[in-house]
Amino acid sequence: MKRILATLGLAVLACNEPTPPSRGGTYNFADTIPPDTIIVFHWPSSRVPVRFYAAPQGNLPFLVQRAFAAWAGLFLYDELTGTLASDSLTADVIVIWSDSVPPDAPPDTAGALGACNGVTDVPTVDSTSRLTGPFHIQLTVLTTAMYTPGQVQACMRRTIIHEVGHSIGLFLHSPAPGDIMHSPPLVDAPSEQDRRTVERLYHTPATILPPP
Amino acid sequence: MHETVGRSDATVGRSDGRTARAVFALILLSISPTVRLSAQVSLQAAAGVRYTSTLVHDSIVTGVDVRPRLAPAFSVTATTPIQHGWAVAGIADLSWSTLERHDQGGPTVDLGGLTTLAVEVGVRHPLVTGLSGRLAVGGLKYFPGNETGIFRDGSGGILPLGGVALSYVPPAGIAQRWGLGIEARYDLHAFITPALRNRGFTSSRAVHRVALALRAAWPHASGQP
Repeated sequence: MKRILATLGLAVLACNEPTPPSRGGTYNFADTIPPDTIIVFHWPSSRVPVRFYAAPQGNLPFLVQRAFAAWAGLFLYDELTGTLASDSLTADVIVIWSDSVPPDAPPDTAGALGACNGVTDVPTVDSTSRLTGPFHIQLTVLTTAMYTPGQVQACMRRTIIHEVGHSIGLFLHSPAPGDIMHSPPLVDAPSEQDRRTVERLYHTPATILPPP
Repeated sequence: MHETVGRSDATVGRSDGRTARAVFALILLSISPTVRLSAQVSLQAAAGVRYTSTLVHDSIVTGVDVRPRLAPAFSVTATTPIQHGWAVAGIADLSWSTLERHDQGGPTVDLGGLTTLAVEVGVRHPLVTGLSGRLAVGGLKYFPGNETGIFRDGSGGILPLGGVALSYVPPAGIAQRWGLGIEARYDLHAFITPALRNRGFTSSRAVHRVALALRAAWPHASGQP
């Protein structure tokens, strides 16, 4: 009996309140409109899962799903979840090829830099500080130099993760080349600093609301 | 509870050989524990509700707490008769709930289902008429509905658990005949998952669980501990 009580007592003592890990080391995610308007946007818990539409051409749906999973997988408390939408009219984020559709090929990261480009259009904000429509992401195969299909695929994979990063609220670029939100993206996946930054963003009060 | 211990008596004739006696003795030895167990052990089933304290507390700009909602809780306990004031008990305890994230000053978000199963062994002791106490130790396993978030890398195996319980069975009337009563259970374990470790949590968090339940016993007998 005494032994059991002692065991329980020791268990209580051994389980002090643990200290949460440090979350220092982030880059700026909030855009500003001079002089003092700060733009902070993230998808609130009431608006997840975020609905992504990927034009059904080539392997775009796969690439978009993969990119979103790369971000969603960073969160410890399921702050961000997403789903592929079958209809662009109901989507929160629309992803398309801007012109040619690259062939599906095993990615070749060597020499992939400059093989593609991506642009994210942030919707306008109305007088109630609410976005007026979906985010639009366009992906382009660059033809200024010759790239193999594998190099284009490698470029697209990292570029889509980067652009999806903008669509979930990381409006600014990271100055660190090791972050996926660096411009242009030089790495294949979000870094620890990307993770800490997006975690911080999703626990910062937003100043911009999503579309109704 | 005091019950008659089942016994098997047998007489072996002198004319039987040594081998026959040995075989018979072996049979008796192998059967006897089963007979005794079935005659001695009583079962108690309990159903109620459980509160679980915060599993994870984090600070990301503001405070974040993750804990299960109030949950239905069921348990089955097998108890031996009291000998020298004590009985031995084996307990299986199941509860299922919804895990929630509570953002300080913000919303509460559903994180999916969460089932827990605990298996314990302990001792039971009558305190005053109708009231008994129990101490138990064992293991607890989490079964998350979604392998995401804090459970993305699994639940981390079986967690050591210790607990106490108080049961009250009114010492007369129908309640006594059916072994009906109430039970309050408290247990404690240390919680951490592989995903939390991977994110820099270096120590476990003490998780307290409290359950209130109605219980019934089989066989229905007087003097239920």
